[in-house]
Amino acid sequence: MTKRTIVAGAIALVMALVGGTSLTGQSSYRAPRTADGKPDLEGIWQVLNTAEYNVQIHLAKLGVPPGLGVVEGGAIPYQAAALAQRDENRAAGDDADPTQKCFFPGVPRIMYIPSPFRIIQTEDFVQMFFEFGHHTRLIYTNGVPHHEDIPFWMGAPRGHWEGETFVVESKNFFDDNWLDRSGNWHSGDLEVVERFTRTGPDHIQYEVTLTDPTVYTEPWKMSMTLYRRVESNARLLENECFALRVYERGDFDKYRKPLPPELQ
Amino acid sequence: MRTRFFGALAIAAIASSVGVLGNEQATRGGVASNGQDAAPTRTCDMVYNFPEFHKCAVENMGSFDPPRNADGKPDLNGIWRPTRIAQDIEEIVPGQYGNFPHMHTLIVDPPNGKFPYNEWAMKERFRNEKVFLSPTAVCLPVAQPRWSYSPVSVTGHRIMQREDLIVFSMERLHTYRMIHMNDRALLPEDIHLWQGDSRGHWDGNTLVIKTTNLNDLMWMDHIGTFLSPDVTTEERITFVDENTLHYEQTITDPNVFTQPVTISVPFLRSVTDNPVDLMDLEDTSIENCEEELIHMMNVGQVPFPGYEGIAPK
Repeated sequence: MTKRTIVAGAIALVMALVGGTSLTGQSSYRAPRTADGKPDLEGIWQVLNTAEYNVQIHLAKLGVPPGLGVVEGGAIPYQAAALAQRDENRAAGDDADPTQKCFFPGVPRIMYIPSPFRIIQTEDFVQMFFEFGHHTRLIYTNGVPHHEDIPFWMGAPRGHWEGETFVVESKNFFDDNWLDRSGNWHSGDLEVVERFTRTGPDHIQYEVTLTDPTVYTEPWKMSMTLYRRVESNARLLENECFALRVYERGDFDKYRKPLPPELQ
Repeated sequence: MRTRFFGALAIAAIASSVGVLGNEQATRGGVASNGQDAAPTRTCDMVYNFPEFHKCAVENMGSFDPPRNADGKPDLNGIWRPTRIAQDIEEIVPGQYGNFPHMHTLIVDPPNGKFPYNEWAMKERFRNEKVFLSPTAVCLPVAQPRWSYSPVSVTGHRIMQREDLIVFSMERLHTYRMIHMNDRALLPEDIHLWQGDSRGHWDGNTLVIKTTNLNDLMWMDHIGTFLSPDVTTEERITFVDENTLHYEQTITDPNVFTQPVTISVPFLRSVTDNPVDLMDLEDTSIENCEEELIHMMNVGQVPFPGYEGIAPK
């Protein structure tokens, strides 16, 4: 047996195990309420998974931690041409990944970039502030209609409450974007439904359904847990992706024109 | 295909903020360029004459009993629009910068409205302007202390208030600041951030924010006014009337200035009956800046290297 078949066999086995397990068990937990009586999602949260590297099951590579994946059923239901595009993206690597260029990571990717974000909740909206790239999401819950004719990198989201669950529906995505660093992708026809449910004092069950008839054969779902950052010194720092790229370019002097004599 | 929409929103944003600048009357009542408002009555209505507004606000401070939160503190929640932007925060005369109209200085101390540069920093400021790209022009973060007069295209700065935290969320570059209202330990001295480390407290009806740990990479304008990593700032935010805040900031940096500098600007509440457009757009500047920056560097223009990159060794 070659090494390759052993690895493939191991992946198949794990996928069978994961595929048979529902990750979305119902919870009877009742969350504390905000002043207006809604489940309280405020705080600093973060995923503990490797979906940012690959939303599907993957083994470790240098610089890439392994992970079981977050896709329910194990595999994204790509159309054939879309799967070929995924492989092309993957071969092109980080240079082709918009998020590696510090562009908007889109939704749902921003939710599982493994760094903290803070949720602030008011009667009219829920706003999320991400450490990575100082991105934000402003999600109205007061029935304000969408801008139907404007595309957004992060989609146009609207939220509502279904009992214990905060439901966010997003559409009007700007164009293709990647779902992870492995080239998994969606088109501008994407529509996303996210469900946030508190399952305990320090946990949110996060489920997201992606519908994109241009890329997938059917809607599909990812599930994961958001963990509260409970450290007493927990706070957001800065991960200024674009500034880091500018300054890590470093040797500005090789670009700089000679100064006029009066400025030297 | 991706490039098709590149910049559409950013360009719209810039055009709209220039529109606001060019026509004070259009926004004198307070709100956005989508202006559904009737002008509210203001205790100090000279909201584009910053030294006069400052004087009036200070004279009237304490005469207005502000709306309050459940915890009894003044309720700053809402969307607020500063009435000035950052090209050059000293007085601008017509013709000085292309189509820019006359603008009053934001500097209320020193009383002459000029930055009190030390001799070296004055020369360096002129040199910076000629030699380096302005940081925000190439999409580097809108850092403290600049946020208070960062351009607003549609709505304003959204303020969210908790007993232990105040958040400022800005349209420009989707920037935000988190002000911790507790005495938790500050960051170590040698850690520097674009937004620094901010602590807030209430002095009566005034929100006071002290900030340290700022980095040395930002400019206070587009003409080279820089700060050192030793800079500290103190901001004071007080209601003048229901729809007007007095915002004051003192910047202390002995490496650059011979005395502390105080700026003052009104924040006008964005009031609208039609909330559809409130801060709902995406600022796509970064998505456009990559190519632009490479182009600028290829023609010999480079980003500001920071105080440490220009300071005398």
